[in-house]
Amino acid sequence: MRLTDKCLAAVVLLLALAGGMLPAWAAEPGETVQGILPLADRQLPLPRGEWIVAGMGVQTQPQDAAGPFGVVRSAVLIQRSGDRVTAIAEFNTNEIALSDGWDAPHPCDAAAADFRLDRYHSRLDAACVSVATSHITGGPPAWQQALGFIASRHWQCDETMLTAAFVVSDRQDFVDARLHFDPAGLPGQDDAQRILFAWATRFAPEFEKGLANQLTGPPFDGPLRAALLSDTPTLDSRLLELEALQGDGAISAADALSQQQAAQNERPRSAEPEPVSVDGWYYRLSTPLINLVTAYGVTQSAPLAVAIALTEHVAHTFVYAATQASWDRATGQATRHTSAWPVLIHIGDTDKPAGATS
Amino acid sequence: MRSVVGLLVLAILFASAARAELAPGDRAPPVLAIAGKQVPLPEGNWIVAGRAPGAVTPGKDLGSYGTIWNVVLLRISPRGALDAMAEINVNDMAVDDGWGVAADCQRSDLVLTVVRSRAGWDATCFFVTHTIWNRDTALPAAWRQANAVAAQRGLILPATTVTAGFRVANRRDIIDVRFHFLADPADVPATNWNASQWSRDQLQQDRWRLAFDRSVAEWSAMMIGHVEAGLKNRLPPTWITPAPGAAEASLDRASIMSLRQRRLAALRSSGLLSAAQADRQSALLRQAEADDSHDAIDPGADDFYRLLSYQGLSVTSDALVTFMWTAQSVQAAAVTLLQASLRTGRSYAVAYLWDWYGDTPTRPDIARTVDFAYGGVDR
Repeated sequence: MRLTDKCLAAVVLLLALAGGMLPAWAAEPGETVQGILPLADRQLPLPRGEWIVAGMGVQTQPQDAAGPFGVVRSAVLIQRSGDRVTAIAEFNTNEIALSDGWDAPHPCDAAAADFRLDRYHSRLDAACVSVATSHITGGPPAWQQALGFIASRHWQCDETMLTAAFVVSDRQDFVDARLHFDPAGLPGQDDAQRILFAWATRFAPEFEKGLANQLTGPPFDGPLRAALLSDTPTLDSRLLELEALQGDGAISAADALSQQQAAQNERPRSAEPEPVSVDGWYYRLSTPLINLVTAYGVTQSAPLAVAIALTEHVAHTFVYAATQASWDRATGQATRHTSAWPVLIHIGDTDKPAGATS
Repeated sequence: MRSVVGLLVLAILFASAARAELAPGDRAPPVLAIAGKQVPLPEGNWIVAGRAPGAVTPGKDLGSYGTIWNVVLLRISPRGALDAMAEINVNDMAVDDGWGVAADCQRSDLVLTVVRSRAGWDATCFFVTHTIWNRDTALPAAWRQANAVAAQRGLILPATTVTAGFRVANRRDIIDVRFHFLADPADVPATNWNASQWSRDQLQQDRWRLAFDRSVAEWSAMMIGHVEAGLKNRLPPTWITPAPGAAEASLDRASIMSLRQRRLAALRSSGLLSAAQADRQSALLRQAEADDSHDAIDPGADDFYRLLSYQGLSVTSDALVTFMWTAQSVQAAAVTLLQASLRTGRSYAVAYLWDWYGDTPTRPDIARTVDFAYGGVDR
């Protein structure tokens, strides 16, 4: 990069950050970033330390992919100690915001994980965290680029890593992120997964802040360092903010106290399950049982009760299918999200070659 | 490498300095940064006239939002007169459990209400109406400051304004902004809101007022996208938003949809999207633009009516099935009644246990109504 280019980039960055607005401009392979990776008009959070951008690309989508999200941008960054890669960050996010949400009410369901937390889900947003062991093999085009970058510098990368996976989506955007850590940097396997999961659940809200370009504080500590510090860094900062507002006279002492109490119990809530969720195992099991017992209680005839319960079960199945279909037809256009969840290839998806579509 | 890190540090320091809050009397930038969010202002010479903690209704069960910042701005015309006012309400700290829609977005007696999204944790809507300014009502602190600034500058406050209100909210943040435009400085104060010449019923007989309202409505349809972008800090800080009355082509060019189309075109020309993909996405964008009321059906109401129709038909089919097998109406009624009662009890128990032992606590996916203390009267 020439000096004038560097100056231009610096001016753009300064202007952008000054206004709290990040440009679509993103870091280039070989550059070092700390705390935040700007990508597709949003901020992606990184744990404390220097991260090297190793690969940038887009996820290949099917020709008939539904949804005006432009492309799915990918970035791979690495952290190293000497010639050893100690952590890898992979990010995927949409380029253009949607206006009517993603047709994936539970994008987290696909995650196979040893530890998993569904932070929240509703018709228009969802967030989850999971932790699992990953094999660092094939991956998306950005990862292929990163592999070349790592090989060209003769750095070593472990084939198995511990992965914290994050999915956050709202009506407009999504971020799919995976942070892979060298297990050598963490205690024994069971402890390591537990420590990483506890850390990941605290780190997850940073992605929501990043989607809103509101990452302003110091970077979050990595899993091991965070385990040695406060268990509740987010709560701590909220309580300090409330104290500051009270100090400035913006809120009364009573307001501050009630909000401090609220802050200690705050958790994002999910949407209640569908009220007519006859697909749930408890409904499938309990409805015929209730019908059978009730019919027997009134008729005092076992064959009659079985016949009633079975016929009712068949009738309910038809009634459910018919009502759902007619309501779906009636409200379909107004409540349907036209944009399908994009096809994503992650590091370690060996069965799906890089660039493949499904 | 070090230079990039150094620049980042400098940028963060610069950013915090640039984000210093504006005080009454300061000239406002075209995109106002408040409490980690951006609010775009229609083109013109705006001054910050008041900034104080505001009030939110309901004040409880919204979590630890810190405070509500209520900011009032005045727009001065080139001739030095007041020609528009803006009142903004935003949360100071992000919450976990969302906000809600404005009561005004759910009214049917306004000139225009458009609900683009209404769900438990996401709300986007706008409306156009008129506001009367009764000097006797108790004003929020920011409005009292604004009145003082107006008096100091010799600005005459209006009796009636045409108001475009915008509400955007997600799980974390909320922006409620109302722009009040002075259409006719000669307007006489109405005895009440309904009696105003700007009320929907009287508007039909007044072509000039109707045209003014229409221009504000057309502008609002463009503006809502920018207010949404501001919730996520995605507006360039120097972005100039056209004001009502701007040419149709100018409003089209400035719309978020038009910006997205241009971005698609850029992706196509860079080779990241094939021609077929770009064309398809462009068509989907146009479709989304045409379907302005997407998600306008309240998911909660949808669930309720689905449940009602399913339960009604299930109970009817139970009664028929039982009667078919027993051929006794009393027995059939008893079985049906018992089954319906037990199944209802079961559903409540499952919901309760789900709430108690489930991974995450729940609430219905229904938009709450959240409002603020405003300066004028619009009902």
